[in-house]
Amino acid sequence: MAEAEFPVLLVSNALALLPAPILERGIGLLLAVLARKHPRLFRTLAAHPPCAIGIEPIDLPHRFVLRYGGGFPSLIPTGTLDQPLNARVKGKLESLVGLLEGRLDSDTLFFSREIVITGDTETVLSLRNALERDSVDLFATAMALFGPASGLVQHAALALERRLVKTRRRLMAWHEALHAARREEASVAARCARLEAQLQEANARLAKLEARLRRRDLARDLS
Amino acid sequence: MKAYLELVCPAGTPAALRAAVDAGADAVYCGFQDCTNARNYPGLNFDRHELKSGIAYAHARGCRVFVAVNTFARAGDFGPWQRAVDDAAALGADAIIVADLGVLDYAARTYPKLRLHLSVQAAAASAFAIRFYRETFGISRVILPRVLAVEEIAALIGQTDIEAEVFAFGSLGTMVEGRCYLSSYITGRSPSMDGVCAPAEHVSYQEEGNCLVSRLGEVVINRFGPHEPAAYPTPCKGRYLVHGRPIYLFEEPIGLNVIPLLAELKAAGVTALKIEGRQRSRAYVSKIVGTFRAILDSLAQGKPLPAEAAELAGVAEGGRETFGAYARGWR
Amino acid sequence: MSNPAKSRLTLGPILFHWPNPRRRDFYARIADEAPIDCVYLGEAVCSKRLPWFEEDLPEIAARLRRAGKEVIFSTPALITTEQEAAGIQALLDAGETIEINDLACLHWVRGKRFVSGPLINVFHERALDVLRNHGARRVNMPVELSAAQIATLARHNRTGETEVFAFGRQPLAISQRCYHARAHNLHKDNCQFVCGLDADGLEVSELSGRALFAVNGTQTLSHGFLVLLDELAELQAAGVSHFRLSPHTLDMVEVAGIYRAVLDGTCSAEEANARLAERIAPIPFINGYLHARAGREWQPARPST
Repeated sequence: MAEAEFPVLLVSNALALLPAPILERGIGLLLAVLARKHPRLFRTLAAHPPCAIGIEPIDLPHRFVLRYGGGFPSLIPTGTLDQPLNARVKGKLESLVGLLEGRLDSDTLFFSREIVITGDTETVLSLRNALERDSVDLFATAMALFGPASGLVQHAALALERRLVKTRRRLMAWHEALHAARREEASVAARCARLEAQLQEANARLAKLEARLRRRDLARDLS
Repeated sequence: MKAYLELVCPAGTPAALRAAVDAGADAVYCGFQDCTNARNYPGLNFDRHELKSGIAYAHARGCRVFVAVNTFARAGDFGPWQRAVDDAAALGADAIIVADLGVLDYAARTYPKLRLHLSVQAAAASAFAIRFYRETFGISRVILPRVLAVEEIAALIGQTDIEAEVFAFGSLGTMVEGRCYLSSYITGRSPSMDGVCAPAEHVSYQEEGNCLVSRLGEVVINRFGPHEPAAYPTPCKGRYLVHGRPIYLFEEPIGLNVIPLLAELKAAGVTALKIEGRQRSRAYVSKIVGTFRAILDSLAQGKPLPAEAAELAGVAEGGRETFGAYARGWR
Repeated sequence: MSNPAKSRLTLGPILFHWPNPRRRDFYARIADEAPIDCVYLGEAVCSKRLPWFEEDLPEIAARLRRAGKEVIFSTPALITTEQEAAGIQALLDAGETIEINDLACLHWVRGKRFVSGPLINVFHERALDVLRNHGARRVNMPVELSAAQIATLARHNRTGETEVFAFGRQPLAISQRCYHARAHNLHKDNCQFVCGLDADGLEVSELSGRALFAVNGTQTLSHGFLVLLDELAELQAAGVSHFRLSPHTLDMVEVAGIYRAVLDGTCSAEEANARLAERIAPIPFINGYLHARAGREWQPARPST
C-alpha cells in the first residue's frame, strides 16, 4: 500500500500546491493541443448545446468545471462546485482519467460505484460517446507539451498508470466476490428447478382431472 | 454438429468496430445514427461515411459487417427505414438485421440477394414463426429471443434447419423483445419505433443520504445502498414494492454469460454467438471479444477453457451474471 | 370514413385467471345484457391456465352466438410449445375465426381469415399490407400508437376493420417468466396458479409507494385504467370501426352501456367519464399514448367551447 500511495500523494500535493491560475493556463494549453489532434471530437463538443459539467476528483483538493457547446471548451479549476451545473461526475482521479482516455469501461466504473454521476445523464452519456470515438491520450499529450523533463507531469503519469492498473484489478476482485456468491445460488436453483419441473407435471395432470371432475359433478347435479 | 461457432460482436462507434475486428470478431453489427436501430443513444452509431470505412476495415481483415435496421417503421414515415436499407445494401453490408414486417417486405422485394437476419426484436420463438419468416421473406438467419432454454433451442434448430444466432454475453432483457412498452409507458419514447429503451434524457441519479436513487422520468426505478452495485434505470430491472416488500420483480440488474454452456449450445447446432453491448465502451468490446475468441479457439481444439474466462465477469452489468432463460429455472 | 353509427363494441379476452363460476356468470350476463357486438374468448396470456376452463368454451360460445354476438377465439401472446400449436390448429380445423397474438400463427392461417390482435406489432402501412395479404380481416392497433398514427393506419387499412383498445388496464409487456410466481417466491413450473389471487392484477409500486404497474402472471399491465371516452368521436371520424373493452371485475355490462351511449351520442363523454370514475377510483385513468405522450399519463379533454 505505502509504496503505491506515495507517488499519488506526490501528485495530489503537487497539483494542490499549484495555484489555480497556473493550473488553468496549463490546462488551456493542453486543450489547444488536443483540439489539433482530435478535430472531430472538438467539432462534436462545439455542436452540443452549451453545458457545464462539474468534475470532482475525490483525491484532489481541486474541483473542475468543464464547459462546452458553442465556443471552445474550457476546463476551469475551482474550489467548490456551487454554480449551476448540468451534471456532476465524482470519482478517483485515475478512474476519471481512465474514463476520459477510454481505457477503463465507463459502465463498469459506474456499476461498481467507482464513479458517481448525478444530474443530466444524457449530457454525460453523449460526452462519453464522443470521447469513445477518439482515442485521447491525455498524458502522452501533456508530456509532449511540457517536455519529458517536467517532473510533475512524469510523476503524475507514472502514478496514475499504476493506479489505473490497480483499479482494473479492484474491479475484477469486486466482481469475483459477487460472482462466487451467485454460483452457489445457481446450483441450488438448478436442483430446485428439476424438482419443480416434476411437480409441475403432476400438478398439470391434477388440474385437468379436477376440472373434468367438477364438470361431471355439475352435469350430475343438473340432471 | 456445426464445426464452427461464429462470434458476432457489437460496434457502437467506429472505434469499437476496430477494437472488435482487432480482437478477433468473425462479424460485427452496427447501426445508423437514427431511429432505425434499437440502440439509438446520443453520440452512438455510424454515419454513412463511417460505415463505409468501417466495412472496408472489417472486410480487409476477413470480418463481416451486419447492419441493424431493427426497429419498427412508424406510420406515415417509412423514409428513414427505406434509406437505411438502401444505404446498407449500397455500402456493401454482408447482411441486414430486421424485425418489422414492412421493412422485411421492402428489403426482400428490393434486394433479393441481400442476406436478411431476423432481429431478436421480432421475437420468433417457435419453429412455426421461423418458417413463416423464411417462407415469406427468405430470411437466412434468426437471432433467437432470450426466452428459450438450451433444449428448446436444439429442438427448434432441428425442426427448421436454419442458421441460429444466440445471445452469449451482455445485458439481458426479461420481456419478449420488440413487444415491451414499459419504457414508453414511463417516458413516451418507444423502444420499438424510436429505438431507445430508458432514454438518457429521462434518466437521473441523485444522492440521497447514503443512497443513490435512480429515476426514469419521475418514476423511482431503484435505490442503491452505500456498497451496492449501481445499475442503469431500465424499467424491467428496477426494484419495486410488491405486497409492501421491495423486490426485483422482473429481473435483477445482472448480465448474461453463457460461457459454461458453450459446449451445449454448440451441440444444439447454434451457428453464431452474439455479444450484446453497442452502447458500451471500446475497452469493454476489446476485452469481451478477445476473451471469447480465446475461449472459442480452445473449444474448437478441445482444450480446457483459458483462464480469461473467469475474468470476464468483471464487466457484466451490475457486475453479476446469469444463464438467463437458457437454464429452465429462470422462468 | 366509416359511418359512426356502425361503430362496434368488442369485449377482449379475459386476461386474468378467473375461477370458472365467475367466468360462466360473466359471459351469461354479457350474452343477456351487454350492448357488445363481438366477444373474444380464450387465453391470450398463459396457456397453463387453459385446461382450467377450455371445456366450458364451446357452451359459452354457443350462448353468446345465440344472443347475436360474433365470437372470435384469442390465441396466446407467445407460442413456444407443441400443445399451443395444436390448440390453434384445432380451432382452425373447427372453422373458428382466431385472433392472432404471435406472428407464428401466420404459419397456419393461410387462406383463412383472421383478426390481428393488439399484441401484434403493426406500426406502419406496409406491415398492415403484409397482414392483409395473409388474410387479416380486422387489425387491432398496438396500444402504443398515437391518435395521428392510428388515423394514418386506419385510412390505409384495406382489411376494412380497424380496432382500438379503449378500456381497461393496458397490456405493456409479455414474458416467458412468471412474475406472479416470482412475487410469491415460486417458479413458473410450479406456480400454484397464484395469479388467480388477483382478479384485476397484482399491484406493483415504485419504492416511493406510488402504484405503477399491475402484474398478471407473465404479463405486465398499466396500473391506471385506459379510458378513451373523450377520444371516441375523433377515432370514429378517423375510421376506427371497433372499440375493445377489456374485462375487469367491475360491472362490464355497465361499462359497455356507457361506451355505447357515447358512441351513439346519447351521453356526453364528460358525463360518461364521471360515471366511470365513480366505479374505478382511486385508480387513475390514463390515455397518454393516444396523445403521443407517456402511456401512464392522463390528458383531460379540452373544455368544449
